[in-house]
Amino acid sequence: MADTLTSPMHVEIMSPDGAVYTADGVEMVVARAIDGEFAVMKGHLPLVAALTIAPVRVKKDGKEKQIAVFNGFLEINDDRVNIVSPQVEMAEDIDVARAQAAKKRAEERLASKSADIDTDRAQLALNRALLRLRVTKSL
Amino acid sequence: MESTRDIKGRIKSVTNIQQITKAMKMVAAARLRKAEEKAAGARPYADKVGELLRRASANVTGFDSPLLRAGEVKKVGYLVISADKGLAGAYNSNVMKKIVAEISDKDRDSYKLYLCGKQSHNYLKFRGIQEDSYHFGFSDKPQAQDALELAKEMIDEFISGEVDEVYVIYTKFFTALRQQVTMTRLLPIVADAGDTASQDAADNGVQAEPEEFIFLPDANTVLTRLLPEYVQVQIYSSMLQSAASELGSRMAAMTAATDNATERIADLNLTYNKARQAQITNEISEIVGGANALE
Repeated sequence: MADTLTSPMHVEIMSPDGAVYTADGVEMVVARAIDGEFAVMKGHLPLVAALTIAPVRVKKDGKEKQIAVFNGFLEINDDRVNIVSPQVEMAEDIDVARAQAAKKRAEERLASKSADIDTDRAQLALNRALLRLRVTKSL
Repeated sequence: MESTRDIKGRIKSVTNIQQITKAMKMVAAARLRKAEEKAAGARPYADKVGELLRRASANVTGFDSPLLRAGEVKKVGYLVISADKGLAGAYNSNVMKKIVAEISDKDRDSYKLYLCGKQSHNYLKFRGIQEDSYHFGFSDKPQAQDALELAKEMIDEFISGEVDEVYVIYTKFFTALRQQVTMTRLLPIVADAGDTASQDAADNGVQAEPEEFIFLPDANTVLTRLLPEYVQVQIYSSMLQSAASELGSRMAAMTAATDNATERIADLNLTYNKARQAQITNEISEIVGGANALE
């Protein structure tokens, strides 16, 4: 039994500019849907999930890799995990200084509470910055 | 007969033109490769989103979204994708031909034009047609962000009832030498071939294949989020196809121009040599004539 649970899955993460990440032999994928975090392992029933702005954690050989996924969808079918997202960033490619600056800017905007601030937009910008920072910490 | 000096001047100017067309050809060729890769890279993504959409809609009954609503068509929106720059052979004029064919027999208030690319804007201005919105600056290097903004605009226009249908006119890329201006419907979202097949199957009470999918959080939410994504992906891939076509056309046009210049230079060289020979012959006969007169 343990065998079926630990034997590997194939993972493919795609953005509109092509495949960003592919891996074989993945043991577990953890992602966050709109209503909460979930994990998929081998033998999972076919599933389609709408993802939110959150890291996708890919566990392989006991190591965990975090990938920043900004919305999008996860599909698992026949032990193949496909993630399609309008924006995907690998931790290695993220500019930490820029994310820090974006975080600060968004926080200031939210704190200022003036009427001409688009709160939703600032909140989204903050979420994106936080996600970038969080993912880079996992390196 | 032109003087040798004039011909020399012309040879020089044709040579200069040739250098420019050659440079443009090489730039277009280098960028075409990248654009082609990008267009091909976007395809799996677009396919996947389409597949998810089919799957999700097959699992939901009675789902209704403003993006799917098809009603009486009073006003049509055209999203036209053309280039910012010319010198790309018939690329821009083919797009223009298509749009003119579409709108020439329509009242101005029965359609809206959303233009991308300076060429379409300039051409329509010349014909006295004012567009409803105009974007430029990304024709040969579209980014996902550009597609996102266009998708937002199209969806807003459609939902607000400004237009009842939206079509995208773009140039499909086959090879550097073969492209095709194509018009496809963006909104309301069309059930494509695969979709209708599964729809028919569902209508007949036959399940095409046992597709038991779990949806997180639920099928309605997934579908609601998939629809705008689908529109965006379609716009993005049309933009990428158009960009590859533009560069392909430019490369072909510049190759032809460079070849023509080569031919022209050879012709001019021949004329130059003839003129030079004629001049020498002339001089000799003058000298001979002069010498004869002295005897």
